[in-house]
Amino acid sequence: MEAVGLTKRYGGRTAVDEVSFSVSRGEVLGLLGPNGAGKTTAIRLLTTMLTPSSGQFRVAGVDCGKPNDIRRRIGVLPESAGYPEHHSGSEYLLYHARLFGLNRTDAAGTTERLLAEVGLADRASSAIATYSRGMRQRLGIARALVNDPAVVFFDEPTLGLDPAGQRQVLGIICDIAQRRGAAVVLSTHALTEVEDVCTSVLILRQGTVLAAGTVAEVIGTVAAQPTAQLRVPSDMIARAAESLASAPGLQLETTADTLRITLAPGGDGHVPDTNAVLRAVLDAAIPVLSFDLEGTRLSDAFLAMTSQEPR
Amino acid sequence: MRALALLAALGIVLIGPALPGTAAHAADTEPIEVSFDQTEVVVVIGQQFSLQSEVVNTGPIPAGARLAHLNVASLTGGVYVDPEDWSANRSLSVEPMAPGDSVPLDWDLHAVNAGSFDVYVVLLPNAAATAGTGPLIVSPPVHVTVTERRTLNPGGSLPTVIAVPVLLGLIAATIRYRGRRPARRDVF
Amino acid sequence: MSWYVVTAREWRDLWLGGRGPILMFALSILLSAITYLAATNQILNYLEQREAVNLTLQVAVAVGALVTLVVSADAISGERERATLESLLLAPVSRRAIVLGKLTAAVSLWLGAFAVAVPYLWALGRGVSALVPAMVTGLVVGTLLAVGLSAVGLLISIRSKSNKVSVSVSLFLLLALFAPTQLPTPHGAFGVFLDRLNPVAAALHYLTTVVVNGRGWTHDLSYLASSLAVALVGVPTLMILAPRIVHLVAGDHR
Ligand SMILES: Nc1ncnc2c1ncn2[C@@H]1O[C@H](COP(=O)(O)OP(=O)(O)O)[C@@H](O)[C@H]1O
Ligand SMILES: [Mg+2]
Repeated sequence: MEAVGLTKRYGGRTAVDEVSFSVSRGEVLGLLGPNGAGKTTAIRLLTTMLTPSSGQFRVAGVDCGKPNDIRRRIGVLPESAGYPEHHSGSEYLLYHARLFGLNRTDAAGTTERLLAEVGLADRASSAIATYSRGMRQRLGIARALVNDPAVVFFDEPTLGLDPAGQRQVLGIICDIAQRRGAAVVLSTHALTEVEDVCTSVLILRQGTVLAAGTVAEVIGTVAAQPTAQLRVPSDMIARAAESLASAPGLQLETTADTLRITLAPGGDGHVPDTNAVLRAVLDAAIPVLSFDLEGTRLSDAFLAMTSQEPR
Repeated sequence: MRALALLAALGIVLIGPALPGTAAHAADTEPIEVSFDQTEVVVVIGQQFSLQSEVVNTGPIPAGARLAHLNVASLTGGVYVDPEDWSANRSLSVEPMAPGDSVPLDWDLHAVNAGSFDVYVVLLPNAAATAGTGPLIVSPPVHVTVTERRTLNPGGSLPTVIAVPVLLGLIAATIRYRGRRPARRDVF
Repeated sequence: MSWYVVTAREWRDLWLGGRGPILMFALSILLSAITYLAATNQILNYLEQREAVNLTLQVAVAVGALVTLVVSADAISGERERATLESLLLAPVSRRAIVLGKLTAAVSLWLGAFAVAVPYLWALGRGVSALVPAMVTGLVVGTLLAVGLSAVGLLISIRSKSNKVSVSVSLFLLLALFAPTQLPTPHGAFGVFLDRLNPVAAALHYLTTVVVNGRGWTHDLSYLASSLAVALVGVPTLMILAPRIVHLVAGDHR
């Protein structure tokens, strides 16, 4: 799947501005951005629900000029999708399988298989009205898979789920990329799990791409200085500071019981090794109560980027 | 006095046809008669019924085309009659008739109002040349008595009025109830 | 093929989802009340028999048109509001199939309303020789109105930003069309022209001409012109435009 210069304008406001990227089979692209960044709009453009103001894209090898053919090859879990409350989960899936042209028998088989896959087999014949949020999301995922899609889009699939539900949904999404070999586009603003799921990320803010690449690359582009928080018994703070004073590239800051260490890159761009820091402290026979490293996670990069220069 | 009148009448009958002035008069009095096969009918309001009448050319000469027109008159004060409601087709044409011919005329009627009515037929000459001229030949009336009908079951509609909502209510409730229950497995 | 799947689903949702049967039940209660009153009244004056048939037929047509229009007005904007439209549009089903399924389902409500009215018409009109022609006329006129109004309701629903807007615009339209039927018959050429222009008023006028006045079905046929025009323009417009105007977001431009 590939998009070039995708743009969508609503009147004077540009919801998605010249966005370009590509995803291959088996990959999971994370579309990250705060609310209003244009994630949903981007997904709706790619799923032919909206028409782009400008730009091109190809989905599963089909050009954007053939929306019907695209729809046959994609699966979509829309943002906060609604469900017919009085239908049962299996009726719902059966209907959508039939919409994709499956005959009764095939549709029934697909329905049963997918319900088992998302863990809804035992509630298949209950009305959707009785489903929890997590069950609805999983039903929606099953619906997105009725046509065995080559590209699957998930718009905020974990929104409003409890941690167990989030993990369950993300596990299913991983499976879709790995076992089915589909290309997956996942939009979210909850980052921590995405680091584990996504092979690449695209960070959006106000419709424009702030960063793109693998998770590591994106973190690298932020150039946020890693900071470590060292907690030692309070009477040993001074000694700990002393033991580190000679190490190069460290800025130290002390509070009552913690030592804040900023690992500034030296003139050669080399970032001091955190292990060396720890070893120096341990060598001085100071008991380490905790050592927290910040600024090396995607969330730090995300926060750093999306909070900069607010318009 | 009586003998004189008899003589005069005989004179008219004998001389009449010879006189040019009375030739048209003879044509006017073509001996056609119209009558119903009954004089008295009793029906219930709302009932459909039919009356049979017959037009007969009793004379020795052919009779011209006629238009038979049915009329209804109310004999009960305060009851208004709209003859159009009593019969959808109140005019029938009668072809020219040879002497001795007869034509049956059937009239379908609805007893629209309750009360006492007279129904009669008028024959009018029915040709462009005779428009606006007579004579009119009238049948003896049939007396129609329409009786009221008051029951607890107006117009027989009570079964419908009760049965239909009950039936539809049951159907709606069944579908509702069925929809609430978990659907059966056989939806697969 | 997919139009069949969509249509079957729409019909099932309407008739087995519970909405259709409950509307029919409500209609039967209304018709029972009217029939009982008309029947008791009819005993006093037989003249009203055909008028009673006409009244029942007109109520069925009016209610049928109302529910058809409301269900149509809810069809697209309602799914948009319940967030179920996206998954439907994501299926490889033509917009025409979706709209056709919704249109026929909505019109089936009128057919249901007519079916409910039949026993009442029968009970009231027994003995009226023109009862069957009256029923056939009612079926034709009502179907014409229902199809036209359903197409209009769907167009409104497709273009409305919210379901509330769609349903209120449609109800207002229906009210505006029904209001003249409650006014005294118009006089003067312009009034008659306006009366014929209004598909609802003209269709009901036609019904009265045939059922009450016992005129032949050809007598005032010109009164059906406006409802025929609405159906003949509305449905093709809907079908032709559907692929271009049915969107997830009302009024999104291609
Ligand atoms: N139909 C619309 N009309 C006008 N503006 C819209 C519409 N849909 C979205 N937007 C605007 O586009 C921007 C992006 O929205 P969206 O794609 O929903 O963001 P996200 O999914 O990242 O939260 C927002 O500023 C939103 O207000
Ligand atoms: Mg969104």
